[in-house]
Amino acid sequence: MEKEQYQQLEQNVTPKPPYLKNVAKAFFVGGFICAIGQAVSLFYIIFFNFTEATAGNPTVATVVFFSMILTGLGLYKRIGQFAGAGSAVPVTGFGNAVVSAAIEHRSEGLVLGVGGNLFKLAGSVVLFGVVSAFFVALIKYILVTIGVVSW
Amino acid sequence: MVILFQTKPSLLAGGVVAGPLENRSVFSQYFDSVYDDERWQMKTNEQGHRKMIEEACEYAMKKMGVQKGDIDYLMGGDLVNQMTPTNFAARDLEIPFIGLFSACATSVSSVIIACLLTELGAANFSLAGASSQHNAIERQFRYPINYGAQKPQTAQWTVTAAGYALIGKHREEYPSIEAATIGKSVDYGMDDPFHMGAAMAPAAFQTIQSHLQQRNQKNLSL
Repeated sequence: MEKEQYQQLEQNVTPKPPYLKNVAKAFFVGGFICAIGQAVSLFYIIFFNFTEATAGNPTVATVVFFSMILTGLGLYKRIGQFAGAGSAVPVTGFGNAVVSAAIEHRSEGLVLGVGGNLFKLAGSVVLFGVVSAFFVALIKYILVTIGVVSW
Repeated sequence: MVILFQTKPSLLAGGVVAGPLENRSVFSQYFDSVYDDERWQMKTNEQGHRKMIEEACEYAMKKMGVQKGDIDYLMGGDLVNQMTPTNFAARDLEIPFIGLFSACATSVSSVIIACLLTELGAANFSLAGASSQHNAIERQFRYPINYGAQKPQTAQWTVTAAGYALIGKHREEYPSIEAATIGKSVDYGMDDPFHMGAAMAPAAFQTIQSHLQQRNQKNLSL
């Protein structure tokens, strides 16, 4: 059998992922996580001295804390299996990536194990986040300088 | 080329220990020991993995009433880097050891080597098998256990289990090994790590096909 033939056969036999169902699940779980985030944000605005602009940081910290607890209890992977990108894309997914790596590599020690592997999965998020933030800021700076937009 | 064993080495006994999820399978009645704790009450997954191998070997030996001093060779492997669990188990078992890595084919390739050594007259008894521990292997090849990645329907699950067979010289009342075919690595360019069945199927097909053709058999039934 030729390579192409086999790949064709494999395509025909492999069950197709239920895309529509997965998208719907991701949408609702992702939306639910964001709704919790919104509630936390409102909590900080109403009960503490935060504004809409400054409530972002404590809100992110709080929901990441929630996801870390869920990861430690072994529940986040179940949510992940059900929701896919719905629980991976929000910032809670970042917390899950960090804590799961920390738990996984604890047996290798605190410095080389936890320290060395903490950002094993989340590292690329940090790297590309910083790089893209730099370029976006650079573009905006140029646009402001030539007078197209203002800060 | 098919290997025909003239002396027909016998499969004298087997030892199988498995983890909690495997206990829910249809094969659970054949397991010698099942643990609810995946780590076998050890500190790490890898140490639990080592313990499973030792226990499986001990069950196989106990069934035939032999001691580890009677075993001439130990053949086996696992999927962790440098096969540390198997190596540490071999340290405690104190049996001359050949480590084998053929991924999913490790169990059968170690049995073939054991049969060859028996055929050669170099071994009266040898232990051959393979093992894996789900959490340790996930760490080796995939994501951390608690990472919330979605697995597709085709994803395989590496079991938590160790299986070792006691191979010895031919005995009438035991099943014997007559022939073996060593397969080739076959690559059809399947590159999805969550669909290993598709990657391995061509090699399995070719091996079984050539085995049957050379033995003039129609199927693998006994």
